[in-house]
Amino acid sequence: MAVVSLLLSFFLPILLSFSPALSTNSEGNALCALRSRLSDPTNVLQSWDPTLVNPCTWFHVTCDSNNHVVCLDLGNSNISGSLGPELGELKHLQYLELYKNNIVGKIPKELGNLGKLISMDLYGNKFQGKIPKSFANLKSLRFLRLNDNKLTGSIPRELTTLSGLTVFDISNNDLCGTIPVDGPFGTFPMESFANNNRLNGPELKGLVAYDFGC
Amino acid sequence: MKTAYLFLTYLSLLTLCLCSSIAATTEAEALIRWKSSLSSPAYLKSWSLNNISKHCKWIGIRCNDGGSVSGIDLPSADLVGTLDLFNFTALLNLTTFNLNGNTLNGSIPAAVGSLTRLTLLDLSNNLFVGAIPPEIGRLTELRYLSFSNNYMVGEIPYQIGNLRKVSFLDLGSNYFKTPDWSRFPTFPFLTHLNLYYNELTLEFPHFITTCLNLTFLDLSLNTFTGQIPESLITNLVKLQYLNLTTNAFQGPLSTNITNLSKLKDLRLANNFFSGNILDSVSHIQSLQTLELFNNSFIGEIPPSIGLVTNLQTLDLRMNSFNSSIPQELGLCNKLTYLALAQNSLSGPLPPSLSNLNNLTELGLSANSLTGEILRRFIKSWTKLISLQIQDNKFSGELPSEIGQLTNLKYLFLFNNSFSGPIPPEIGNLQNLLGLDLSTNNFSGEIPPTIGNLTNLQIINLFSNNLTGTIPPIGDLKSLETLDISSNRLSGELSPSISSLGNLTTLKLFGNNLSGSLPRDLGKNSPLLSNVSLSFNSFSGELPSELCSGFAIVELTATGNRFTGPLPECLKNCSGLSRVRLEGNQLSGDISEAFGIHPQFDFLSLSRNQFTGQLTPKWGLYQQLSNIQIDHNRISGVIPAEMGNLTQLRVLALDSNQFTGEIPAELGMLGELIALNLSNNALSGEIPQTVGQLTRLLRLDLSGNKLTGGIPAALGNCERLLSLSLRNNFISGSIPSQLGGLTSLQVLLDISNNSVSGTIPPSLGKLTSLEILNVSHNNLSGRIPAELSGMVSLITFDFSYNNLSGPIPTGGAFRGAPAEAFGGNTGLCGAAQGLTSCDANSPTRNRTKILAAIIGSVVSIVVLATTIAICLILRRNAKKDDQESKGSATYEYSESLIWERDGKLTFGELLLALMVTWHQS
Repeated sequence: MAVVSLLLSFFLPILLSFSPALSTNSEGNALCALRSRLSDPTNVLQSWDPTLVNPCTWFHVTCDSNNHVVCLDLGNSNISGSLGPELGELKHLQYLELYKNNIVGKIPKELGNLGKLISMDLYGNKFQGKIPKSFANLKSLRFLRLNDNKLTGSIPRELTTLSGLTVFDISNNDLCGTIPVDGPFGTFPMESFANNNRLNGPELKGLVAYDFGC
Repeated sequence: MKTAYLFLTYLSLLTLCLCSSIAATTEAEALIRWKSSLSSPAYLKSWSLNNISKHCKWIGIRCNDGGSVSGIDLPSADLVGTLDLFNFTALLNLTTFNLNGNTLNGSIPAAVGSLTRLTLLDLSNNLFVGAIPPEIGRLTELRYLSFSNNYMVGEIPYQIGNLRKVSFLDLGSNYFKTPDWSRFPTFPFLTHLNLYYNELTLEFPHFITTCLNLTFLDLSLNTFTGQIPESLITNLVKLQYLNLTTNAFQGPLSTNITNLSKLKDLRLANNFFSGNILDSVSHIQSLQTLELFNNSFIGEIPPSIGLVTNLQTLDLRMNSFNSSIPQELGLCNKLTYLALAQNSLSGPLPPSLSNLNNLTELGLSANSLTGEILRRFIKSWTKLISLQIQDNKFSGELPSEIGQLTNLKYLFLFNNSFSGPIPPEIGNLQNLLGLDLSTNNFSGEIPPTIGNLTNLQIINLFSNNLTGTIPPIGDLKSLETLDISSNRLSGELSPSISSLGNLTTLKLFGNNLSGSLPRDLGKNSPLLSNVSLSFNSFSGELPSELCSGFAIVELTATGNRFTGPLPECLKNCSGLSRVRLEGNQLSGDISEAFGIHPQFDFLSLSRNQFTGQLTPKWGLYQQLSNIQIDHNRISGVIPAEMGNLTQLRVLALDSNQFTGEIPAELGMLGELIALNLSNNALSGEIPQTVGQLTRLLRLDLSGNKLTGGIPAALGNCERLLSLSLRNNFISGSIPSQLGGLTSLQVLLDISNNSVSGTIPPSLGKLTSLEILNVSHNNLSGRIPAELSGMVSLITFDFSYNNLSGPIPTGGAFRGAPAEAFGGNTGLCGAAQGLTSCDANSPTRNRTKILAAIIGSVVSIVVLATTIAICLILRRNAKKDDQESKGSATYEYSESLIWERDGKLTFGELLLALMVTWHQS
């Protein structure tokens, strides 16, 4: 017994100094970092093995022919935890589907780095804080659904520059201020803004401050 | 008188001698009896009946002046047996009893309590079981008591508290449980107390803080909780060694710890201590060893640490220190072991660290340290055995002086930003066992000198910018892992790679390597288990002996130009877990290519030229989570046994030559998230059991010969993102349940079938759907207005059906292209190229489509005219039709015909006619 513990006390520091060789690819690392933040009681992320060539064989991850991650399908997956800045590393991502989970915390502003994003579905979670202004950088974005969360603050006016935005839903949050009317916001139905008690609108240009009521 | 006196004296002396010799004989006999109970008494050769009178000279036996046995001293004497036949009562004069380091088992007899003269009892390092007998409390003369390292159990008896003279007490490494410490008094003479590695719980035992003479205290490897009592720090000022490692102690370190000014060794690792370590520790200048790793200490490493110039071991790993490394640490130049890994330390290494020329182990990994590894460091750290600075932000080049660290066994620089070449001098590090430079920006060639490092077990150079060819490494007989993946290496593999007899892991993926693999790769590497060749330009066949050791666990060769069959030995690799060979030109029959693989987890053979069939045996690979065999030439039926693969997440058999029906058993694959059977020759109906695949995200059955209807049960697959049934012979109507698939986002395609009936309005609930294709079917009726609720639609296709009436006006239907509606006879609306449903709308667009229609139907003009006349005759009857009155379409067609008389063009007449026909 003493021998074992002696061996342990001798080798443990050496063993502890090692850290496992991780995935060689930054997208895989970003997803690993995401996984480390999430609790996954139904083992949806079980196949996410960082030692593999790339994350393209992980379930719920889709790659293009150049092995870049283009789609993350984790809607309705019973995951909880929060998101981190590393998601902004997925530069080729087109679909970020995290709807209907129990994710909490802020929406990382780094999601604004995902310049190829077509669809971002974060609805049906417990996100708090503001809608990041950086979303105005998502020039390819068509679908942005943030409804049924606990978001606060005003709708970033910068989003009116997203000319491709066809679906925008922020209903059932706690947003405030005025609903913009410029750009694509002219076409969104009022249901997209429903159940935000402090949200006024549509915007009356020049009559009230944009963040009136915030 | 004198004689009588002499005689008496003689007599009494004789009696005395006689008595003592009788007693001595009893003692000797007792010893012999014990010896005979031992199963391995070779060491006790001198203990013999022939020799019984000289028993004081027996090995390990010491006698007192009276010739009585006073000491048994048999450490490490290879004794095997028990104490059961040891006659304690025959050896009452024993003062020392030492059986340390034998192989004695059984329990310790209660009779040990009769040895009341014992001052030393050492039964450590044996196999004793059972509890400490409470009779131990009778040994009140004991100074030294050790039961260390046995298998003893039970509570520590409070009777030990009677041993008031004990100075050395060691109960370590047993299974002792917590007694009621309050029954333990102070031990005024106790200097050494060791309770390590037991099952002790609860708070710090109070009695210890009253043992004022303690110099050594080890409570490590228990589950003590609570804080260190302040009284320990105020009272035990003689402590030189304090070890509380691996318990559940908590709280901050008292500032009064300075009181323990004689401490040489302070070990508090693996607890829940928190707060700053403060300057106070630094004022214990006698400290030689300070181990605080794996706690929750925060703040800075105090610069005053430089005062502790006797420090040899400093281990602060796995805390939350967030300062820079203080320059003053360079004053501790006796340090041999410095471990600061897994903190949040930042900034560069202070130049003063070059004073630490006694360092043998340096671990700074997993921090945020920056700057370069200065030449002066390397020059002075010549005693280093282990240099681990991985997972930091170090940059710059690796100094060529690294070649002077000839004692190095481990050089771990991975996951930093080092750049420049790998110095060829690295070939001087003859003792190197592990070399890991991965995930940096090293460039240039792999220095050929690396081939000299015959002791190397691990080479990790992956994820750098290394170029050139792989140098000959055939002499690295100890090499187990070679991972040079994700570089820009080119050329062919050196044949020498085949001679690495200990190789287990060979990872070459993500380079520009080309040519054939050496034919005998694997032949001399029977332990080879992990081979990754993916994403290179290799050609030729996979070596037939690659798996000749039957040890392959993972084989991946995706994205090369390999040809030929799978190595036959793959079938015998019982540990096989992962096979990825997609995107090559591999061929051959896979029917019998696999064997028994209980851990088979992942298989992808996509995009090759494999032939053969899937046998029922595939149902045995119960751990498989992924089967992708798409784009090959596999034929035959899909075995029903595949329904047993309950771990399966992805099943892709598309673009093969499968025939027969889709087995209903596939409905048992409850974990399935993607099912693709498209582009085969599957026939029969879609099984109703598909509705059991409730986790399914993507379902593609397109391009087969499927018949029957769309199962309403599909509506249970609520997570579906994409559903394609296109290009089959599916009939019946679209079940309204498809409207419940509200997760549908990527695609809903039922085109090119024979689906009839109306489009269910429930499809309007698919608010996330981006592509909808129902073209080339027999759908009729109107496009439900509800479909304008499909706010995410980007493209849709309703063409070539029998649809009629106005198209929806909202959402994506606004400004929709004509192609989406072509081939329908009666659609109208605001879409580009469609006839307006409203008579007052501008005619420009209408004219365009009319022109087209005129061109295409000019041959039936005459017929149309005739029928128009018939229609006029039917007009009154139609007016009574309630249904048609409510129909906007109908009003539209009538208005066209009747309200604009005189201006009616031929073409308009024709259009109206066709609409009317259709509605009749």
